[in-house]
Amino acid sequence: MENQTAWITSCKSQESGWLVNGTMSVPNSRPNRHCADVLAWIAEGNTPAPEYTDAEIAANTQAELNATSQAYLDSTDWYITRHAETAVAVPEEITTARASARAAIV
Amino acid sequence: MTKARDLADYTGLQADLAGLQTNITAGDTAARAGRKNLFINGGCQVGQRGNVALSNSVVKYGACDRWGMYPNVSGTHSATSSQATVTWSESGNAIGWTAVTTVQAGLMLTRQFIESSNVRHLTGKKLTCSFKVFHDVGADVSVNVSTLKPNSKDNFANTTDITSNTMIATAASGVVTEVSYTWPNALTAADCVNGFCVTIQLGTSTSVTNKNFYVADLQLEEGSVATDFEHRSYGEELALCQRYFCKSFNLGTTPANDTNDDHNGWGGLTAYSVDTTRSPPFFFPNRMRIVPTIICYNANSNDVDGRWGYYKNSAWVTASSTTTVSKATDTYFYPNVIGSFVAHDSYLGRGHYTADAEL
Repeated sequence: MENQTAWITSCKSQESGWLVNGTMSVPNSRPNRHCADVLAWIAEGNTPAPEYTDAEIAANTQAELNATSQAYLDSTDWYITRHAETAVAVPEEITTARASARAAIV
Repeated sequence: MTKARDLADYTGLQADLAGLQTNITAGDTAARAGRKNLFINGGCQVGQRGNVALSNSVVKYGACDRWGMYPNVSGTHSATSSQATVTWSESGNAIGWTAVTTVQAGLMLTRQFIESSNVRHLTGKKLTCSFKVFHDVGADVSVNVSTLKPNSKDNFANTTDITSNTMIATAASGVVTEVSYTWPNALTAADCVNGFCVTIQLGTSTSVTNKNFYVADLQLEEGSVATDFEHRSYGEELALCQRYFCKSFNLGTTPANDTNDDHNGWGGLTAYSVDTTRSPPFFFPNRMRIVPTIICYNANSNDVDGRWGYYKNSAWVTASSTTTVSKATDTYFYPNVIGSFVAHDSYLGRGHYTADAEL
């Protein structure tokens, strides 16, 4: 009766074990009874999904790119302000990089 | 003459003290040593999980910590594990099988796994189990006891019966039945070196509708005689239970999402990238038996189930994916909260967890 696997409806690999059924972080530690169930589930021929799906990885990558691009724009806004107030030209490389940053944000 | 009488009085006093010492030693050794009761939470005082719905042959840890429960019935059925309030037990609590409905005769099994380090000293000793039973079925209920041992240390996935289904009493309806049972044979080393399990089985002879069964004052002790139930303080019993299960919720709160339990937040989520945070470790109240399974819950109903929230730009934001565990030990864990952060900034966080290291 113990060591059942039927209760496992989803299983993803994670840093220190598995994320089971969406909420349970099961350690990869054999004395843990849930770990025993996951190992039995794998022995039945099942394969844990990767920690993140391709879509989640892509979304995280884009989110990070958005944030770093926005941070670059914020940090170089003063060039634009200086140009508007004093007519000092914005360096060409800054203009180019800001254009790239704006384009990267989705 | 006076000296002689003083000497006689002194000698008599010594004899009285020796006799008193003998009586104390014989009568109270177990109590003074503590842990006469090999069960943890035999008094049913600790109930961290709240009510638990039960279903056929699926063992669940129930409302009273450390006690696993499962019905063995056929056909449509329902049953709930509860921490019942009763007037006839030492603590005022009992393991409750409440609102039990079955379409046929059925069995209600309540069991406790005892880890090897707590029973391996019992080689060559007899054991006695005692408890109280109450029910409102309206007919007699059979009371059976089984014992088993795990085939490897503290791993109850594969077990061997020591005794199976010994009927020890019949419990009449509406009265408290006190039950005790002494196993006929002393334990061998093989019986207790890997751990030990006692299962109490209540059996009905017909279908039941919305009936209740209670078991309380459960005690497992060395020897051939059931002695008085050993009282333990609530704090002591709670600490023993938290080796196997603990939670961040208030003690009276059933672990779940959307409890709004202590959801004002705690300090300490620090973003080490734009989407991931680290926090100080969440220490368990006691060192747990093993590295536990951890479930994260939201603390506020505005957050998504299973995700912790964080405070950013004067508003609470829910994590962008399920809160998981970066690292866990038997002492602490680090949550992995994914969201939209400013790297190196710190945030208030809110969320709850349970940690399960049961056998």
